[in-house]
Amino acid sequence: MEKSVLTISSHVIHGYVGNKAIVFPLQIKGWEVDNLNTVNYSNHTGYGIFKGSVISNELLKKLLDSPPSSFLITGYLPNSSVVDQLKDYLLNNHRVYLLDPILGDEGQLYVDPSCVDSYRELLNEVKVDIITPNHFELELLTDSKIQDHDQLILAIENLKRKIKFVVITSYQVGEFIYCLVAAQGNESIKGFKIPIIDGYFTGVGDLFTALLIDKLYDSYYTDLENKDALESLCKAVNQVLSIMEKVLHHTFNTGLSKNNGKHPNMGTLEIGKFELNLIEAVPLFESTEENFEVFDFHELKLD
Amino acid sequence: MPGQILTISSHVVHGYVGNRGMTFPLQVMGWNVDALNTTNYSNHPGYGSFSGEIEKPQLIFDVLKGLQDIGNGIENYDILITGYLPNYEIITSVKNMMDDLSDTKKPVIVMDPILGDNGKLYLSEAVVPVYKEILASGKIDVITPNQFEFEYFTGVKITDETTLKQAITKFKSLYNVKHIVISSVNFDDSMYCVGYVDDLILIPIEEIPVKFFGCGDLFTALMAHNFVKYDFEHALKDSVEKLSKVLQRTVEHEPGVKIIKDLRIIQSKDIYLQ
Repeated sequence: MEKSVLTISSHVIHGYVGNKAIVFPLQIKGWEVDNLNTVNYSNHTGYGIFKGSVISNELLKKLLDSPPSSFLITGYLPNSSVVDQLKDYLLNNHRVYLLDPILGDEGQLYVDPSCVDSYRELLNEVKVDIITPNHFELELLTDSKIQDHDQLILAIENLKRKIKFVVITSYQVGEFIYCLVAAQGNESIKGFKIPIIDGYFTGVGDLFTALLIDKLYDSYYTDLENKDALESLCKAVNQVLSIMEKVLHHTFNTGLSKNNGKHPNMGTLEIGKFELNLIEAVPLFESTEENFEVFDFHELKLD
Repeated sequence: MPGQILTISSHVVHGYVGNRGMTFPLQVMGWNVDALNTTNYSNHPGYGSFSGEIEKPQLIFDVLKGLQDIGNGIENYDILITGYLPNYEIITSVKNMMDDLSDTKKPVIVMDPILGDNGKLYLSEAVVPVYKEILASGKIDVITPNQFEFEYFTGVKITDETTLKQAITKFKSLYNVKHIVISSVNFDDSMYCVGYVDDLILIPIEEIPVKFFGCGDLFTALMAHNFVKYDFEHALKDSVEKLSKVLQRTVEHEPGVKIIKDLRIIQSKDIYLQ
């Protein structure tokens, strides 16, 4: 399979979120990346102020008419009509599809509430190969409150019935964030335990998705024969987390030094000092280090 | 810490022209590249068909204001590149923004005054007077037109070294741009890249009998990077050399093809870093 991907997400002129965080790392790894921008903003909303516009239905329809690629990523889709239009498009144009169902985090929605139903419909009707929700998004997609071990298993199993690779990107308990992975053809759920960096970051999920496609390509899609899906996924996610940890530390430290040692306040211009250090991270994207321990789900004690 | 570039040009979903051709090479060379997109097209017109839209002038005006509001106005960039500015309103927005710059704090401005090629205007003639005003304003540090555009701005047809010198003299008398780069000029059965600061610099280019798209954009990006790094002549030579290596690699990938829609921008990462 060719290393070509279409990524449909946001564009900001300044800073690194959405397609600005997805396109470059993939290009560095030799991918042909087509980018379709769902919004055109001066900067991300975390600054408290921004200017720009959202794509119209008419324009989206026109732009989807571009030459095909092997993989597809969807990220920030600002409203339900964008999600619905994509669903219709995907019914007739299948590729290996990574859905990052961007809805919100920690109980707060980033998108129009109508997106929730549209994503649920999309999951019912379209074949998704890889999905990367956080805890809040997992709750919304499965229409369930997830507060313990059993509820979490149930929700992951629910997604796994339809989707080959399921990655819960963050499930916070106490001092740690857990990243959980499951794959079709394997009963078990695996997990990684990540110490929290006490900072505010943007674009993290977007960079995660980009790196995941790249690492999963190497561990799974390059040669589909005799591949254990869960083992391939664990390897890919471990590599991604190992890179992310370094990028975030670097970003956080330069941010602090630009901000006189202070943590940034959300919704203020200080956030701009903590944009991902993407250009400096180039050598890291090549890394295949696996620095995290892989746990069986029951060992994690997530209650 | 990486330097900051703002590049104002076209966006295509697929392929490598405009901002899509400039961004990756500049990022590889270590720049934070902020791309302000003037179009939102599926691909470039060289594919035979394309769809999409030119951005609304109001949007361009708004996002420029948005950048200013977050304390990141154009005076904060190290380099400003302008490329495909599709209409009168958008060029005027860009002009107004440049007019507001003070001489003490401004980016290096590299302008590729995209008007047309091979004897044909791509844009409405209404844009020409605005471009002329910008060129006369003294704000532009480097200009990178093609032969057609340079002839259009000067009214002098270039057929040999003498007429080339006349065109440059005319340009100098009409406008106020210190560094002139004409990406390619044909005369005496040869092709040259032309540079002018105090003297004429002629760099022979090996002609490849293939039609490419996005060459001008890549060349402008390489020139912008090199201009702040090296002296002018060195910058020019290095840009020509790197562009030629990318073209060579592109041709090797599609041998015998006479019209190549996209350069091997991604696969030429090592060339930008040489």
